[in-house]
Parts: sequence; C-alpha cells; structure tokens
Amino acid sequence: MNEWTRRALLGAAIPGAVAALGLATYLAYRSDLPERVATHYGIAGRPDGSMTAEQFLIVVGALMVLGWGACAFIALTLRRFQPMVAPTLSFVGAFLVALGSGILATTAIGQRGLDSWQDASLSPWALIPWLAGSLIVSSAAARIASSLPHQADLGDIAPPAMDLAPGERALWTATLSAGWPLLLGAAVLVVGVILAQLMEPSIRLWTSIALLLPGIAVITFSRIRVTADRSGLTVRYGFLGWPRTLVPLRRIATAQAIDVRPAEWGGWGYRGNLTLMNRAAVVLRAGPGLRLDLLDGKVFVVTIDNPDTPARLLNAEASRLELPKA
Amino acid sequence: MLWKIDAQSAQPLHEQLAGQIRRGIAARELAEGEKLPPARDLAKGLGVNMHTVLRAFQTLRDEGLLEVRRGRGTSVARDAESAARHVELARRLVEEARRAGLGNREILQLVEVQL
Repeated sequence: MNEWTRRALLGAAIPGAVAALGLATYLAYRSDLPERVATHYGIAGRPDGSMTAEQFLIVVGALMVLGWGACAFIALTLRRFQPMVAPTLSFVGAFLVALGSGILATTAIGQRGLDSWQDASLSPWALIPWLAGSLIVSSAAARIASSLPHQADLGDIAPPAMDLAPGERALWTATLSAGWPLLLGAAVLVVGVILAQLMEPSIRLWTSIALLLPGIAVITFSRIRVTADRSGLTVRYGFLGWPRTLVPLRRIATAQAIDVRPAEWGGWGYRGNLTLMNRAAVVLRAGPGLRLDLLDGKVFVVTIDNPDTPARLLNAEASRLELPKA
Repeated sequence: MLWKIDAQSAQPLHEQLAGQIRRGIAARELAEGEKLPPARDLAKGLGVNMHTVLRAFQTLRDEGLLEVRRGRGTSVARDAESAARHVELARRLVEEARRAGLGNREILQLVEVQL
C-alpha cells in the first residue's frame, strides 16, 4: 500500500464508510421514528431525555464531522509530526465518527415504530458491540496514521557501543518510580474502600471492584525495572515485576539516549503498542529515556535515568549478534 | 548499575560478581537499602548458573555488605558503604603484598603493627 492509498483510507474511505453506515440506517428508518427520539437513558435503561429527530441528527452529525475532520487533517497534512501525534489524533477522530455512527444506527433500529420516545429502552449490552466496533475502527486508523512519515531524528552516525571482550557478558538494570501515580493509585484505593462501605450491599462488591482495579493498575505502572542484557530490553512493571515487556535483541537495530517529552509520545503511562501500532512508549516522567529503533522500523521508548549505559550495551550486543560466531 | 563478567578471565565468576557489587557500593551506584535484581534474572542475563550468583551474594553477606532476607530478596546493608571500602582496601593490601612476595604471616603482621 503506497502512502497516498494510506492517506486516502485514513482521510476519506474509513471515516466515510463508517459514517455512511450510521447515516444510511438512520435516514432509512427516519419516517418510522417517533417525532422526538430518546437521547439519554437513566441507570435502569429508561429514557430520561429527548430531542426531535432532526436535532439529534445535527448533534450527532457535528460529533462525526469533528472526528472526520481530525482524520482528514492528519491525512491531508504533509507536515511531519512528532511520533505519537498523528496516531493519537486519528484514533480519537475515528473513534468519534464510529461512536456517532453507532449512536445513530442504534437509535434508529431501537426506536423505529415507537409511538413516543418514552417507550424506548436501552440495554447496556447493546452498547458493547458498537463500542468494540469503534475500538477496532479507531485502532485501524491509528495504525495507518503511525505508518505515515514522521519526524525522524536518527542520524547516519554509527551508534556508540560499549567495549565488550568476546567472553564478556554485561547486564544493566535500574528502577524508576514515579511519585504522584503511586499517591494517586493509593488515594483511589482508599476512596474505593470508603465508598464501597457507603454503598448498598447489593452493589458493594461491584463498586469495590470498579474502584480497586484502576487503583491497582495505576500503582502497578508507577514503578518499573528496566534491564538490558544479551536477550534484549525488559521492562518489568510494579512491585511484583509483572506484567512485563520484552524487546528481543534480534529485533533491535539501534539504541540511543533521548530526552523524553511526554506530549511527543502520547502522554504518561504505557502509550501505543508494538504489535498493533508502530510505536510504544513507557513514560513515567519527562526527562532522560532510552529509545530503541527496531529493524522493522518500529520504535520503543522507556523513561529511565542514565540511559546512555543501556544504549551502549544494547548496541554492543546487537553488533555482536550480527558478527558470525567465531 | 552495569554488571559485567568475563568468562575467559582466570578469576572465578562468583568473585567477579562479588567484586562488581563491592565496587558498586563503594562508588555509590548501589545505595544502602537498595534492592538488588533477583538472582534468577542476573543469572539468566549474564548467562551464568544461579548458584554462582547466590555464592557471590553469600560472600558479601558474610562481609556485611548485603542483607539476604528469605522471600524479600537481597538488598544492600546499612553501613555497607564504609564496610565496602574497608574490604576493598584490605583486598588491595593483600593483593599487592602477595605480588611483593610476602606470605600470609607477614601480611597479618603488617596489619598488626598498625593496630
């Protein structure tokens, strides 16, 4: 697929097809819909807000235009963005289009033939397919966007490597903790426990789970141990060292120390994905980080202090891998 | 911290590892109370037997540089920094004295005179 095909897919074909699906369904059933359609639902799935069918189309349409605009902007701009900007913006844009399209289609199918919007009902389960569909569409858009040319900052200079004698083995390891996510995670846990006590017994269990899981997740990603050795680069998360990410040495082309600005890599936390997208970044703070450029053109970044040493180690091990065994 | 071992060196692997930790503590690359990476990960990464790593940890525990707690991993002991310096100085004294041809008794005497 050449670059222009990809740009056409991202800017026109994908958002266009997705938008058409929802719009066509809505317009096809337009004459069967009640004068006002239910647009908002209470917890029990009973409608508690409505609009005229036209108003609804305009509001949701505006949402979709906004999303489509974001995708088109990325597709039509030849400017080279910082690595994570185009995928993130395309993801959000395509998600808005798909979300709007899903809302239109669900509303049209669910409310056709009703006499009044008050007869409408919405099961939470009905949301799952189109939320999943929206995620698939937006991931595809993000993937295409990440394959567009971006600001490359790799020179042609041979990467600095560590001196390793033939029989020498080296391993570098360091940990990095971010203070405020740890506090945030702990706060969420405490609030979760307190709130759960205030809840009715019937929903106490689910409230606890809903609040404790994010707390645990935030705490887990507030501390990492980064290890570089002849197997590659390993990032272990949390205090248990699990889960973890391994970038095998045979995938690594070069390693270098960089200054990580979170905005360029999609923010804080684990951003992007090495399988679905062309880049991934583990960002706990702004500042020094290690950047790996992989042989397939993908990029992995992790924030860590003194990234120069692991970079030189990985470059040395990678060049050793290229040499035939003596 | 960077760990390096040389399989072709005459010095046994566990001594190389122990030396690295001593130097790491003396150079403050390993802070007091800091947890060392798990022995299993070190062994795998450096391509040595896990017992080699554990033996190095054991030596340093006996020197008072490391604290080994069952189930809680190995960490750098309090006061390890000054202890590491003394151990390192003693090691250098012994090494240089041997090179100068002194025997064990003479080296001990050297130290005793200073007491």
